[in-house]
Amino acid sequence: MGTAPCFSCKHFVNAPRLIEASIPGLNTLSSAYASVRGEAGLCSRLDLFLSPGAECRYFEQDEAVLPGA
Amino acid sequence: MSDDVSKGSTDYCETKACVEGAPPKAKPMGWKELYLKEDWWAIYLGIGITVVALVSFLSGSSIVKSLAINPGGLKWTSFGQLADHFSKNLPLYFMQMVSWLVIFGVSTRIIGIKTREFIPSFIILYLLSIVMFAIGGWANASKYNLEPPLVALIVGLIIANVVRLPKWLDSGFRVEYYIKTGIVLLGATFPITLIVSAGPVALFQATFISITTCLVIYFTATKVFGLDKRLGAVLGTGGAVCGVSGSMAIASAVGAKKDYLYTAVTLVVIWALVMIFFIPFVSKAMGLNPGIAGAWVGTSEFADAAGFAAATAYGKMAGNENAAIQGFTLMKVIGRDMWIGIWSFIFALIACLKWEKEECGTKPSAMEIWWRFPKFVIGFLAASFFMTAVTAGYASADFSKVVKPDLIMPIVSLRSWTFIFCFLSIGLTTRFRELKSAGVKPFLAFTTGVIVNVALGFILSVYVFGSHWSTLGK
Repeated sequence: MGTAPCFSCKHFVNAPRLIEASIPGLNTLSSAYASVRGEAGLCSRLDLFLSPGAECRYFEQDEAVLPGA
Repeated sequence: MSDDVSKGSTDYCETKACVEGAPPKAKPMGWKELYLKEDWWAIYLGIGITVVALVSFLSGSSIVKSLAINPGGLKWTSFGQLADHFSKNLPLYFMQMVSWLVIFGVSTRIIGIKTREFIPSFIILYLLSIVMFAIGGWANASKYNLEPPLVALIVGLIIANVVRLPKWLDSGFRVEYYIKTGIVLLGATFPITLIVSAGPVALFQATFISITTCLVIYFTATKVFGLDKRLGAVLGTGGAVCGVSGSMAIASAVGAKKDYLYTAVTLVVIWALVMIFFIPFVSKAMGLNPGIAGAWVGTSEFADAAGFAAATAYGKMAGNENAAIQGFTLMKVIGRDMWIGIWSFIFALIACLKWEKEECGTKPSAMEIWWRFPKFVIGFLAASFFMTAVTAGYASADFSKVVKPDLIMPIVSLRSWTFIFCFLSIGLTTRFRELKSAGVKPFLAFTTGVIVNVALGFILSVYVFGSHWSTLGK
């Protein structure tokens, strides 16, 4: 199994709305739409909060973010 | 409380074959950040409103001044007076609501919030805000401590936890977006000369307190309670730099468990709510100068939104809102917020080079400092510089007689609206039943940092730099 940054992995969820939904209270004094989050997101496989440049052995390409897709 | 946040590790690509088999890389957001992040929209709205107000002022039009109406300064003594005010100005309030709805509605739509959810939610928020202003405009409001920020927070908390509002209403309760827009508007009434003269002390005090608090929480969590280093880092920056935003930035920098971030969210929200009431009422009991109390709030409160609620509330109690807000802004926005990117980069480096030497994928880039930078601070500084330059040519008498009532005060009133939207939204989005059980050890580690932070913040603001902060707002 190959690897690439989490950004293009199918387990990586970084839509702000989904992040706020999965961590209740996050939008009370912060926001997933803020610059400080950058493009960080949740790994639905390992349950981690990761930067989009992180890498791991469980990478699986998300077809929706393939270049040209 | 459960104690489920024991040591954990991430699972990075470890072998050469794994790395070499890499699929094509996707493109990151890049310049799209300019229209997909609320920080940039806060800048556009804040600067845009300021420019429109200036053009209106220079052309002799009173449209912005009229639209900046709010009932907070009425000093009404009977409901008849209040009803009379609203019946006379109903068209203005309607136009104002539509204006807010359009600028916030369009911008939130672009960043990805559903308009069909935002519109009804914002209308509820606006109507509640009018009620909060009206309460604050009662002649006896201060006698009963009915400061609008505190009332808004309590009303919001009651509604959110008793009435059980549907979750989709959160689309209009954008705490951070409103406070950031308000901060940029605040910049337009904040002399750049004050930032230059008072900024270095704020930076020193903020740096000292941030490093101390972060290290206290981190070492208490890891050395005393044996918690995971990543949890220590997430809690430490949450308590020391910028609350949930700091925790979120560091959580991703070190690859923390989602639960760690959730734990930090709970602890920050609970303690931030406590401090919104604790610091103003202790300051009142001690008769603190509002500039000093503002600096204390800026040093010891965890988030911008909560801090502005505390500083504004005490400023109103002490009769000098400007001084309290200036002290808070210098300490928090100028002193502490700007460190998020730096802390994030440092922890990313530590995580990569020390905690997981062999598992580290891409080395952290110094660009992390820029990516994580809270961009609305740029808007605050730009608005301050712009308005200071524009109004520099006016003599002191002209400034007080013409510029202040016709240009500055309308901007202050519009800022007050964004702040009250924010304070209500804090309460309306705080659902205690949804907060995570933090665990005893994380709670104690974070609380140790809170105690150190509040005590040090008090000593630095009152005794060490008290003479400096007491000159604000004059």
